[in-house]
Order: sequence, then structure tokens, then C-alpha cells
Amino acid sequence: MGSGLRNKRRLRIIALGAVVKRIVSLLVAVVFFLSPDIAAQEHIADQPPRFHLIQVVEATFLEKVNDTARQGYRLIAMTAVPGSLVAIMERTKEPPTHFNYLVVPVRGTKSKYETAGKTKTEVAQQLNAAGEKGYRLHMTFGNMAVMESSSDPGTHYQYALTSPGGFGYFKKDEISDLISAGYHWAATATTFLMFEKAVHSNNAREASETPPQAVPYRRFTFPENNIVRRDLPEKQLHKLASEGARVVDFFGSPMQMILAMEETVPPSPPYQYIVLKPRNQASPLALHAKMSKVETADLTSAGQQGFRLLSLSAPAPPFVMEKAPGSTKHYEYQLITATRLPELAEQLNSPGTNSFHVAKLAATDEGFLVVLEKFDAE
Amino acid sequence: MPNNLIPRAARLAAFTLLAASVYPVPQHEPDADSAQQGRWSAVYQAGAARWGFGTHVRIAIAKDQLILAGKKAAPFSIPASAITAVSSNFTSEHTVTRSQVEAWGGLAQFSPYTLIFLPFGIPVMAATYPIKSKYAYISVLWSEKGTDQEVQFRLDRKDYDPFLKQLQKSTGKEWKNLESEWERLRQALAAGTDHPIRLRLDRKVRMGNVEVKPGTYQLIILAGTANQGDGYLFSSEQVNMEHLISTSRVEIAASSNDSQANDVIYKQDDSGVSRISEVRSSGQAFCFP
Repeated sequence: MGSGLRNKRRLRIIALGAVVKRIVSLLVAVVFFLSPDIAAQEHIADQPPRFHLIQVVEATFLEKVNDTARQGYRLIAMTAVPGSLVAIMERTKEPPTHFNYLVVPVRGTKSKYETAGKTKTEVAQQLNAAGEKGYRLHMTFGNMAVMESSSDPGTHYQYALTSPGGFGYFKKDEISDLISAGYHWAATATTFLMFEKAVHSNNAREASETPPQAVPYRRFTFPENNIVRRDLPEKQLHKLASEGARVVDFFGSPMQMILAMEETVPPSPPYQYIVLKPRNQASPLALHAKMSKVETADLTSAGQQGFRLLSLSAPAPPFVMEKAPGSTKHYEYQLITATRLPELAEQLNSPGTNSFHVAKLAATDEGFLVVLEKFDAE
Repeated sequence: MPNNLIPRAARLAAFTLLAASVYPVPQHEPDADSAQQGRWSAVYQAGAARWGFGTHVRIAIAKDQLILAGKKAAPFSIPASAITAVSSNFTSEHTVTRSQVEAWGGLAQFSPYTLIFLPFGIPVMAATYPIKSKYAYISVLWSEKGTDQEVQFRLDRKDYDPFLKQLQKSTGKEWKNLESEWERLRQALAAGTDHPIRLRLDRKVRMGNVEVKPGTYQLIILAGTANQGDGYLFSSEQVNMEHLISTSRVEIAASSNDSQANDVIYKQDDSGVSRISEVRSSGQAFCFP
């Protein structure tokens, strides 16, 4: 009797074991089929992240940027917070391109009280020396000009600088001469305007022998806000834009910001502009201002109407958005904020940002602000 | 009655202000047992923490992180395992005189008339000028979650060694201790096994992380094993730890140059920055990486 019962129990346990095995194997199969991208995810996890962020002191900045560039990254945005410089570097597409960077300080290095004219000459010499070695002006920030190694060995770049004269106005004749000589607007650093010219090795002589144009094809105007000197002269921007001028940059120092606009002769079809900035929502009698915030929806709403965020030297906000005549492209934006750099890196490297690219990096009182952009043509 | 020209209260106030200006601004003294606790007072210089230059902070090394805490701001922590480089630099500063100059500046802003007492302050400043405070400037670099970050802070020199030892314990990595390096160098110089090489740099160069201006320098090579050594570059005639600009690994090889003149050969890296490639002196060539 006892042995028969034991045998029955054994058989039951064996049968139960087989059922358990089936359930487990079914579960494994379901999990495997429901998540076919596990292998792909593992492959992605092995890859270095798309964005690499750097926040170091100025003395270490170039070294860290070049270290990261050697790992297949490219410098795409930079800003400064008190005591450090911040950079976003993006992994280059396949095949990885290895860039190299150098920094030209846009200030007098020989004397503390160097005149703007001497500084201009010294900086232009340094930029041209780097240009000769195959570097091209990549971006400027504050009083730094960052140059990137060029992938085209047949082309090198020449630079010329101009600065405001004694009365604080840019010399339009000097700018016209530069444009006639084949230079085009490249960047601004503090109050210096930087112009660039590409010289192809094969036809270097040809380029230098191009006869200067008698009438400048383009001219620049520099409207300023005379009431609040650090603010964007919005009214003048819209007025000049309606006459065919186009925004080139908004730059300067916190004490005096300057808008640069380019006019063509004859006037081109007008570009349209939208300026998004925090506005005071409190009553005019209120003691404290109550400022609104520019949200993602505001940028995307303008983007859906065909306006694109301009990458200007001035910190954002204001966000200046431009619509080219006849443009059918639509833009979508994401605003990412973070108090610390690892937090920002995590958000930038999340799968939700895959189809976006970095349009702007800014330092805020709370931390960092990154504007991401993506576009589609209609 | 000349004494009546300045009321007694005003004289007392002026004396108090003068005394305050002479008394140096107290540096944050470390606790007696701070080293044992792994906590030090420091002055924040620059970097990834969002404090202003000169903010007084407390630094603590816990088991797995380095924590910088300001008085009002939230603490800033660095994962110890993520630290990739620690570099340091020693200075001596005329803190007492500087505090007095700052105090006089403050007084002048408060009321320019206080400057009538400056003739009393100048001799005091002159007398206290030789008093120096010794500091170690420390830079910590770390890599974390797709980022590279750096902070720089100033420690009292006496806290440098315990701080570094504690950091080594916490990170499990050995960081270059300038004090012990200096001791090794001093012993080698005293034993006469090494002597300074006088160098004249005709251009701006970069040695390690430091930009070196054109001028005259002293280079000391401490030979190690298998043709390897360490190069120490000093900024002045006097070989002193506070004038140490940079250190670098060097390869030692024989050279055909037997002349007394020391040749410096430069190279340019990919960024167009000049670096010292080789120094030839007394039949030896010291190659820099």
C-alpha cells in the first residue's frame, strides 16, 4: 500500500514537473518573441553615446575637446557658466571623422591695454596662420574663436576682422571693401566682426585676381535698442525685414547688444521673423514683474508655420525665428533643462531625442537649456 | 586743544576700523581632527559646481564620493570611482597684506575720508608683508555618464597630504603627491646625483597641462629605471617647490651634443601648439612625450 502511494506521488510530481517546464519554456518564448530588439539594444548599449558633454575650466577646455574628438566626436555647441566652459560634442556618422580643434583668443595677448586695431591685426594673423594649416573657423564664444580641422585639403580659409570705430559705429566702407574682395560674414566675437574667404589651391591665383566689384552687392546695418541697450531692437528688426533685410547675428556685451542685418541690392523677397521672449504678465501697477516662460509649444507652433530658430551669439531667450520666402519646411522643437551636466547628458542621449539635433545650448540661472530641432519638408 | 578736533567717538571708530584692517581676514581654520574625519575647509576656484570664485566650502571624502558643501548652496558630489585625474600646484601668498589692502579698499568705498589714516596703515602693511600663507591648488577631473567635468579648489598646504591620502584610499588610485616628489628631488639634489639644466625657451610652449611663456627656466631630470625619468621645470633661478611649473615623463638617450650649451628642440602637435620635443645637454638627450 505504502509503496503504491509513493509511486503515485512520484508520478504526479513528474507530471507536474513536465507542466512547469512547458509553462517556463512558453514564457521564455513569449518574452523572446515580444522583445525582438533585445539583441539590437545590446548592440546599441555597446556603442558610445551620441552626445558627450564637457564642463571644465578654460585652461583644460581645448585638451578635453580634442581628447573627445579623437574618439570620433565633433564639437556642436558651447556656452559658459561662471568659472567653466561647457561643450556638447556629437558622435560623427559612419565612417567616423576625426576632427581637431584649436582656440584663438580674441583679445590682445601682448599688452593688457592693447588697442582694438592692434588686437584686430593680431587675431587676424592667428586666424590666417591656422587657416593656412587647414583649419576653418567653426564657432565663437565670448572672446574665443574655435577653429576646426577641415576635411578638404584643397581649400584653405583666409580671415579679416573689423571692429567699431572711435564713435562706436562699424565702418561700413571697410565692410563693403571686404565683401568686394570676396569675403563673407563668418562670425562675431565680442564686438569684432569676422569675415571669411575660401581659397582653392588650384585656382588660388584666379581667386586673388578676381576684379573687385565697384558697387557692393550686400551691405550690413547694425540697429541697437537705445532704451534698454541689452535688449533686441525688435521694432527695427521687423521694419528692416519688411524692406528686405535679413538677420545675421545678435551679439555684443551685456552692456550693449547689437543686431546685425544684411541688406541686398536690389532688395530680396522679405524674410519674416517672430521673436519669442518672456513677457511681463503682471499689471503695470504691480511692484514685482511676473514673467511668462517660452515653452516648447511656442517654438513648435512657430516652427509648424515654417519659422526656424536662428542660432545667434546672444544667449537665449530671446528666441529669434526666421521664415524664408517660399519655404515649405516645418520645424519641431524640444526644450531640455537640467541643473547638472550628467542629468543633461542622460536626457540628450535618451531614445526620444534620436530624430532631433542640437540647435542651441544656453546657461540659465538654474542650470542648462538645450533647444533640440527637427524638420520635415512638405 | 587739538584733541577736541576729532570727537572721542570718531577716534574710537577710526581706531577700530584701523585695527580691523590690520587684523587679517581669518582663513577657515580646519578642525583639529579634520584629517581623521576626512573633512577639510577649502576655497572654491572654478569648475562644474555652480559657486562663485572664492566661495568657502567644506570638502568631505566619504567611502565612494568626494563631497563639496557650500554654506547655503546644495552640496556637490563627485563619484570617487569616476575621478580620472588629480593635479596640484603649490603657492605662497601674502594673505595678511592682501587682507589689509582689501580692508582699506572697503573703507575708502565707505568713506574716502578714512584714507587720512592710510599713513598709519602703510607701515603695518610693510611690516606684515613677509608673512605668507601656503596653499595647494587642486584640480579634480572626472568622467561620469557621458560627461567630463572638472573642479578646482584651494586647500591649506597642511591639509594637502592628508587630503591626498584619503582620496587615494577612497578611489583606490595613486595620485601624484607633489610634496613627496619634492622631497625625492631635494634628496637627489643634495646627493649631487642631479643638477639643474638651464633652458632658454624662445617661444610659448605647452608642457603637460601648463602653458609656459618664453624665458629662462631650470629643468631637473630624475632618472628612473630603463632610460626613463621624470622632468621637473622650474620658473626661476631658484629651484623651489613653489616655482615648479610642470612635471613630465622623459626618455633618456645618448646624444652627440657634448657642448655646454643646452639645445631645445620643439615640435607642434595637431592643434598647432608648440611643445618641447627634446632637450640635449652634456651628451644626453631627454625626449618628452
